[in-house]
Amino acid sequence: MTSAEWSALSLSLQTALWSMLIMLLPGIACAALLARKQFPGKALVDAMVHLPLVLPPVVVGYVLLLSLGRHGWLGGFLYRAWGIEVAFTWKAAAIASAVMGFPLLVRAARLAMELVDHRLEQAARTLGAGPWRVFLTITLPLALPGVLTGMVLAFARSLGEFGATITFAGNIEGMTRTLPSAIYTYTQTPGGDGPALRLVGISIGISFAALVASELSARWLARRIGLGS
Amino acid sequence: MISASVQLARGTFTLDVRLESTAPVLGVFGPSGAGKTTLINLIAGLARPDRGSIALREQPLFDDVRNIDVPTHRRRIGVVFQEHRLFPHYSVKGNLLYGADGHGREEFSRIVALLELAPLLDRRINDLSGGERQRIALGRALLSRPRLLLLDEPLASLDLRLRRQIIPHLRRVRDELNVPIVYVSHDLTEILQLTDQLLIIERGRSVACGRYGDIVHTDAVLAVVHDRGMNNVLTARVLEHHAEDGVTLLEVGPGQQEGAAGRLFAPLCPAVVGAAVSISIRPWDIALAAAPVSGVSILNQVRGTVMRCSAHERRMLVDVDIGAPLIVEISRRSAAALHIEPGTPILCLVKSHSVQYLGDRV
Repeated sequence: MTSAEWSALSLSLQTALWSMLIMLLPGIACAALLARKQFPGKALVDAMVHLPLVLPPVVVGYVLLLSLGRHGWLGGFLYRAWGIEVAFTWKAAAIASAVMGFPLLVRAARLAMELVDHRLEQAARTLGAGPWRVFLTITLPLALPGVLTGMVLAFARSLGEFGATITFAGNIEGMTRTLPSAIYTYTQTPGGDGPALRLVGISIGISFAALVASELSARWLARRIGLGS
Repeated sequence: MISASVQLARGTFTLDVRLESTAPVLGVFGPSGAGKTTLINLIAGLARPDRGSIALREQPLFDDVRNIDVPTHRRRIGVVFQEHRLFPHYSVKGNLLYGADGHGREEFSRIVALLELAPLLDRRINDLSGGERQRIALGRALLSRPRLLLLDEPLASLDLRLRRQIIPHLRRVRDELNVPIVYVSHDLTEILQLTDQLLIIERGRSVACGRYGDIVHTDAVLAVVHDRGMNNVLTARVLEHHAEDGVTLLEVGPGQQEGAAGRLFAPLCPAVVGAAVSISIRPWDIALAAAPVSGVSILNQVRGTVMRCSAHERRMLVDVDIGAPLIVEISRRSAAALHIEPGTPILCLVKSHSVQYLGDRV
């Protein structure tokens, strides 16, 4: 493998991990909110969360660029206040992946939380546990296999993210050229078939491993928390 | 100790219950769908009444007029649900300590000893039997130092053998811990083994609240109770076993003055001689006689005194004191023939096989 290919691989992994870190807390909070709370505008929040799933990724990337670009309302503020530039850096790639993966995480986590026996939460409340303690000691641990599945799905989605990333972060070698961008670039280059195929193989390998690992760990967790047989 | 007056409407079901109790155990009896579990949820704060008030030891927990609604986790009301609701991702010990505040090491050993939980502590919830689970649920509730314990059909999911094992534990909790209990069940015999203070509810309404022996004489209570397991539950002591005859001789109630009075033959029971046991006799399985009857197969002719009688549409209820109160049901025709009135000395005729052994009183 050439250094360009290595850089695409490591950049992809780094981006996917960072996107996971960015979305984890908001994702779990959002899932909990949708799973357990009734509030006005819930349908709207639900739709907003799922929007990236149905929008063309390029649109998501472009909206991100418009708001977080140097002339965008948020990006402009970040640049003027702390000199932080987001667009066309690896941060942009991580953010784009996070936004695209967010609905997958929320969906899986929410489903898992909805399946947690509400009566166990009631029992915890009668034992003196306030809402936070109930969530952290009952709901979340029991929903963990689902949350994990969501994380893996989002992680795999990050690795494959192309449209939003290339629009918001660009395709700069060594900086924002992730696996899909690299593969795309190779396929557009004469004689790039070899490297493209290698990267395709690597992509399939990583995604497959992630899914298998998620399945195994979800099963292990389910057994551990007494849900499995 | 606990007083409540709550109203709630959910679809076609309405609940309107008043209760007031200072008893160590208040039994809540009613047919399925009467609103017993709803009542438990309202007291625990798991559901909210439309109107009314709930107070525990004079402290308001809910009051719609004064806008008080103490959240569940601050009410300090322990609940044992029909299904154990143990946390599957915690060990037995983890479950027991979930609501404990950390100061109670002695308390922990005490409850573990009381409910005989020591051999279970490191087990996993999924590997436990139904009876073990309910005992742990009971221990878990007690370790949260509740000011009131609500038991919602805790034995409903258990078979007869396991019920017999759990009831003595409940009695120990009643006698050794200073926690008032509200015990909900659709099984009157089960309730009467723990208390004679009852709240009767039917179709969301409280029918009566008071001592079983008193309220059962009212038409309204009799209508609910009669075909739903109306019973006499008595404490007795095992005097001797007659294995060759297949019977056990019991002595009923505390302190007998007359020799023969209060002695009953029952089918051979597994309790040891000297042990205190719970037995039950259905009111309609007892016949009354003015004088000893000879030449009958009925083994028991227990001397007693009529304390009270009440006439109802189709029957007569007679309370007879045989050292313990016994409710007897006879026809009005029989009552008239025997001239039964309070103060009359009478003999209770009970077939030995009408005496049912419920379990040891430990």
